[in-house]
Amino acid sequence: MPLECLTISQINQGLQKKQFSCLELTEYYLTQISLQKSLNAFITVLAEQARQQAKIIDAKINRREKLPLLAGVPCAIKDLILIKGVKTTAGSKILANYLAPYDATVVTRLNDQGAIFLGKNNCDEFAMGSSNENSAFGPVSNPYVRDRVPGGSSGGSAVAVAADMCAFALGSDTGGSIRQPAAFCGVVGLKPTYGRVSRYGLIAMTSSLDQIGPITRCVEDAAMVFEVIAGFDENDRTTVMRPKENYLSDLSLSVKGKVIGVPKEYYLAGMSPEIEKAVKEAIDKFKELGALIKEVSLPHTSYALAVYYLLMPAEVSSNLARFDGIKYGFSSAVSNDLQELYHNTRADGFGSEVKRRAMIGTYVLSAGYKAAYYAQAKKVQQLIQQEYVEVFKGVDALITPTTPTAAFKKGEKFTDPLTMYLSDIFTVSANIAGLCGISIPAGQSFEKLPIGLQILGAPFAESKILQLAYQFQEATPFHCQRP
Amino acid sequence: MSLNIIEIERLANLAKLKLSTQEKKQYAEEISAVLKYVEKIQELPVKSLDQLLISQVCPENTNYSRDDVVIAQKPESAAALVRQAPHQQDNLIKTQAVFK
Repeated sequence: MPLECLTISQINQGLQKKQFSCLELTEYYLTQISLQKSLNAFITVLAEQARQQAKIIDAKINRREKLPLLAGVPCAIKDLILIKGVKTTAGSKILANYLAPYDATVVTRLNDQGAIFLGKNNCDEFAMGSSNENSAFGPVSNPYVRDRVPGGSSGGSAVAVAADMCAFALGSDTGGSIRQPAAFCGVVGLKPTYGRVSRYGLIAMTSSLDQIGPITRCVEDAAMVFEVIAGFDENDRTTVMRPKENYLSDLSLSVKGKVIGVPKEYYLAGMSPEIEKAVKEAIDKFKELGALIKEVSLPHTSYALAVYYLLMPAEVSSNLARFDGIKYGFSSAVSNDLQELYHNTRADGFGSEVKRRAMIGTYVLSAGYKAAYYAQAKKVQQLIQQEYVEVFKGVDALITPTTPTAAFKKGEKFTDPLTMYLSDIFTVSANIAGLCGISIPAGQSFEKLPIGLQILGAPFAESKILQLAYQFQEATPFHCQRP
Repeated sequence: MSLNIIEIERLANLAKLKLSTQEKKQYAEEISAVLKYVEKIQELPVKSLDQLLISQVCPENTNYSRDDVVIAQKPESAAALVRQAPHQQDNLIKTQAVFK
């Protein structure tokens, strides 16, 4: 049986029916990883470990044991998420040789299912970036057009799925870092509601916004992985006790009569006309499927990016203070006193984007400026949240473009941080307002680059947005695109 | 807000980053540009945070307290963490003197 581009269900069926073994499937992905090394999607490949895991699963299958849905399914994990005993670098020189002392909760949950870990994906350093050009381990390439970025910060994860190097991947999203690379690489990326998935074992970037989520080939795979990783965790008390829904079985519910809001502010002068067209056509498709379309207004949308680039650096400056060359990670050899140790370790260990955001953070939190910047940003965040609460009283979901343009060229925005930040303009609101959001393939540009459609839901409404995404997928050919 | 070199040096010191002269210039420009963009939030006349709304947006996100009791860790956890340190001595993490 051909092993190309299998979905999780196909893998599950194929293994049960012994059409292929788990070891064969794992070898297939390891070969794919090796052949496409130039894409630089992986920092660490766990070849031997994966083979051992696969053999265990094959033995269970031979003993006719009943296995969970993700058993034997090979996956890749963003290098911001800890796997015990494995190098976890956060894409940074400062953790280049850091061996994780424990498993992240999401890793434990996947491990309990019997998933196979193929390796750790390259990412922007400490999740800071929208192009995967900020990694200390080199940039990642978009498999569709090699001189283009894959998006970031979960660029490696999105590429691993798009280029068939794994069945699914985990990324993390703070301002769009799952959804934007998913859009650029023509795959599905889900950002759960804050508190839905445990952050225990996720290297913290912005603790009040970070969420781990699945990147997959199709919506049903995203629902499956999400169902496994979601849920309350005693080790992360920002997770909620709210019971999970039946994300997978609810996918096939009809969208007839569902109200979809189209926010008029989700438009940027100069955005790609092809993306505008793709979103308009998607709206028409939802009308065909029986949904009701309603124009809505979110007047403070234009402030969301500013709020994000105030709150996020503030938390970053705090979260990254732990990297001091003393407890773990890189330590500068030039250290005649404590201050020198700190200054040199961090100057050598961090890349320029990290330094930039840490300094912005110290600025907005410092005495004399905190009220005007950080405190004001918290108030505006609440204004934005309030708007979404009101709008979601009248709609089931919102449809927007995921990004203003398709994947841009490497180097194009790298030298101008502000231009780079603007690529997050449609994704940050979901993080700021505590919503859930999914990006799904919705077409291709003239240059054969993927275009993503974003569906936003109220907090904990993942079931609704997954349903809408699934019905759109089943009515369109876009998820079949391949690099 | 446009930052000068003195202000960048202050921020670099707060963030514990040694910067070259060239870097200070570069970051002064780049950070000033970002601050200029984010300052637009100051246009908005916002009063204090509405605590009621915070609980409405996400009722599940409530503060949690537990009893102030020691929850014992496995001894191997401490050892594993000490082993991470670049400099160790006698199962302790070693560092420069805090006080000279």
